[in-house]
Amino acid sequence: MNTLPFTATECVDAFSRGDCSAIEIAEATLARIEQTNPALNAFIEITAQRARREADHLDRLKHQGQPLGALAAVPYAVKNLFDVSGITTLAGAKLYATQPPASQDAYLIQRLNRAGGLLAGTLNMDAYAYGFTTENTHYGATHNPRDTARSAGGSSGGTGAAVAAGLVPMGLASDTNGSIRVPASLCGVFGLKPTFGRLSRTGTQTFVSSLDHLGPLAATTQDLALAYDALQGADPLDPVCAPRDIEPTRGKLDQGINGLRIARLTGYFDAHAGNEARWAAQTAARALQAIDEIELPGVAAARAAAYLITAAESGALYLDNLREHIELFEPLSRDRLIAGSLIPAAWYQQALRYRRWYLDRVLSLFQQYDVLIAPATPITAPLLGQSTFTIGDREFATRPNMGLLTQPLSFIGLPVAVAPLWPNTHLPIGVQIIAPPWREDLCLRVAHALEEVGLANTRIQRG
Amino acid sequence: MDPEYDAYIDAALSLNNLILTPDVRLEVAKQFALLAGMKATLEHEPIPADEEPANIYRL
Repeated sequence: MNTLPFTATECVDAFSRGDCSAIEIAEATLARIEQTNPALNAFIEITAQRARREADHLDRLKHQGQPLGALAAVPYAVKNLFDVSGITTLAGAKLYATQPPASQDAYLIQRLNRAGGLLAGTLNMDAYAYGFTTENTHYGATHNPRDTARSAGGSSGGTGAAVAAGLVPMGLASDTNGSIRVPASLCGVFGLKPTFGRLSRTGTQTFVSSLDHLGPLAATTQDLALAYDALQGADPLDPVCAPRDIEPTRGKLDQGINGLRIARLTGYFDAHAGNEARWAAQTAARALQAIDEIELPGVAAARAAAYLITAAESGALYLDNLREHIELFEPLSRDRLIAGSLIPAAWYQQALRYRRWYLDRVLSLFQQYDVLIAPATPITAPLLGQSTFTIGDREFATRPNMGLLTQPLSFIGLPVAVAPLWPNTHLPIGVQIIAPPWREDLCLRVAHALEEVGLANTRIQRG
Repeated sequence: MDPEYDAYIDAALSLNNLILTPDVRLEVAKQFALLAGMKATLEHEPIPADEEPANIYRL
């Protein structure tokens, strides 16, 4: 098994060369999941039959000399808010457990499927995607592979844990306020939250319609770019998905950082970062020769506005069910959803107004800089059940505040990659690499540069 | 909890036909107080009243 390829790039290359079959890769993946998942609770459903069927199909195509897709024989898994044909879409919620199975795959799964990916299963998450720790009362907590007493982050903790444990080289997740970036940071893997409207959301469970993004997490920057390139494509069925051409990024990874103007964000981002988080941003900035330090205007208000929009839209979304099936709700989120459903329209409207104002001011900074750097999470992975954490002399509730540093950026839809750094021997922490709208290529180039100098890596054990 | 919000919460719960146990009602009030704090933070930034809101948008 150890001789089989592991990263997505290795899988494609080895399968294409004929070094191994797709079914061998699928079986090795399923064996890894069977062996390791019980300690992590990353997978909610393992789609073994489907993975084998897809692998068989690929092996036949190859035997017939048919063209192979960009992700041929790459195993992957998805957060369980993506529709998977034949499986009930749970979104981490008992509320949906009795719903009928999805009749077709989500748009992004269809794209990965057409590219030759092998779907291994669906992954655990905070209920409704409301939370940053993947502590789920009904489906259990997901444990961080770096230290199983700790949180994998959330809400896409299952995806972060599955990639960090080497169960699959890539996975799909959603990010409303940080749910790709927080697990990437705490589990120590690469992640990409693309520009708002870049990737189709068709066939996924909504949480906050005007903030929801989808994107990949992966073992390497090559894998991340490979996944992202395969996911791109306009979708007329999603009114938010921009009608843009596919803009490939993988071929640009090696362009390096020469000529890029990079600055580190200070102010709010330093004030809400613990020692490890500040170390990560400062160390990444030094490696990138980013001497300039700048402050974004009005970040605290941006975070507050994102918090209000999230509460108002999710509360409204779940209001009918709160009325009729309150006993089915996740206790950790129920009260936040109810409170959100009571928000006066004037508060919500003011938050939306602020988004326009803040976006205009942040965009003006990109006339001076191509890329901005900031920590991804205030601290490294907290213990499961840890109710608070401390920055300086301020105490924060863990579950709603692990996104303190991510929320002000997704609020205005900017593309952000996370690269994992290692301030100590066993717990990673991520840096956010932020670019102007539609410049995911810059995020990935800078993440790749940090990986190339040996600073960012996922330390995933093979086999 | 600000008594003004307390009365508002009761009225909004009633309007929305949400019937809660006293314990849940208390927790909801705490969460609403957090939201009111966020609104206060937001109000620290002067935003022109005629600023166009950015709802579902394409960048």
